[in-house]
Amino acid sequence: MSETKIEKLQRYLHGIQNMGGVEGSAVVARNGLIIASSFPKNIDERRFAAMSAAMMGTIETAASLLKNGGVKKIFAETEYATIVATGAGPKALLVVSASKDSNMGMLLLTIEEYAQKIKDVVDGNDEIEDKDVKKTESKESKV
Amino acid sequence: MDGKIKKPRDSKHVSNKKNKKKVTKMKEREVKGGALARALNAWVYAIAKTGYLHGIQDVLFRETENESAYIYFRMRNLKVPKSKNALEACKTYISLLDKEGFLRKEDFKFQEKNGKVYVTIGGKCPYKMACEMMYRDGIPVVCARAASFSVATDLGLGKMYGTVVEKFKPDEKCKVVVELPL
Repeated sequence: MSETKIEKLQRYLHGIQNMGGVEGSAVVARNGLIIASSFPKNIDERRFAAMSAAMMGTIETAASLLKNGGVKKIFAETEYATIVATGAGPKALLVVSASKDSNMGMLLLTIEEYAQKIKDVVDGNDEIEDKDVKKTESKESKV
Repeated sequence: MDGKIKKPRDSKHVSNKKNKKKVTKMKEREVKGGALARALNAWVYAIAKTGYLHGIQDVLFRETENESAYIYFRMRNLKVPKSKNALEACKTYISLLDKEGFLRKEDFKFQEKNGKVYVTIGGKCPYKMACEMMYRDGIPVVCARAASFSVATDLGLGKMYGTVVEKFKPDEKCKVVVELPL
């Protein structure tokens, strides 16, 4: 059986989780509903998702008041961790929480890479990609 | 003879007085009810507008509605029964609100398609004024009655669905979609 979109997103989140220092991550709809997450069970994911979307919405509004264009990323440096939120297409956000001592450069690269993958899944472009992969795979097997 | 003549006069006088009192009480109630309805509409509109201006309309509206629902259930010691799917959760919830006297379940028509629940909402809407103001001011219309479906799915299914107003026609019927974000 093929993987569902949620399963695919969950796999991506596990990929991010494998990076050192990442405490949790979530794919959140722009309206604040949770799509997928890899946070520990004691975290209120629903509220976190709502707050993440609110955070992005507020910063976007502030940026538009300053005519600074669209928001690409938000960093929140807390006492023990760094929270990074980035857009994953027009419908979703990727939010990652990492410990303060994690490699921020690597983390940002990983987040950008996965945000694009998540965007494709949420927008439904992943199916086209999957078909392309299958086609090339079948071509390779013929060769 | 005099007494006979006086009696009906007095009783008329008394019943007139009673009627006047009744009418005044009814008018008072109407005024209070009207003021309450206007205040409620102003409040709903204010949440929608504040949310919109701060870029958090969906979140603020849903969270406020959810919180008030949870508080109300706690106050009334009510429990929402578990459901098998979103359609059942929405129907059960509307029946519960009907019993509580918030709305008439006959005003809601449900249809399920591809995991989404399409709801047609008719009847006399208590939030009509707020929605019309949102529409007039160019603010995306958020439906206070529909937002309750997020609570319905959260409590009935353990999954929170979102709501989108697909068609806004307060004088006829509004259409709302209850769906998961993905």
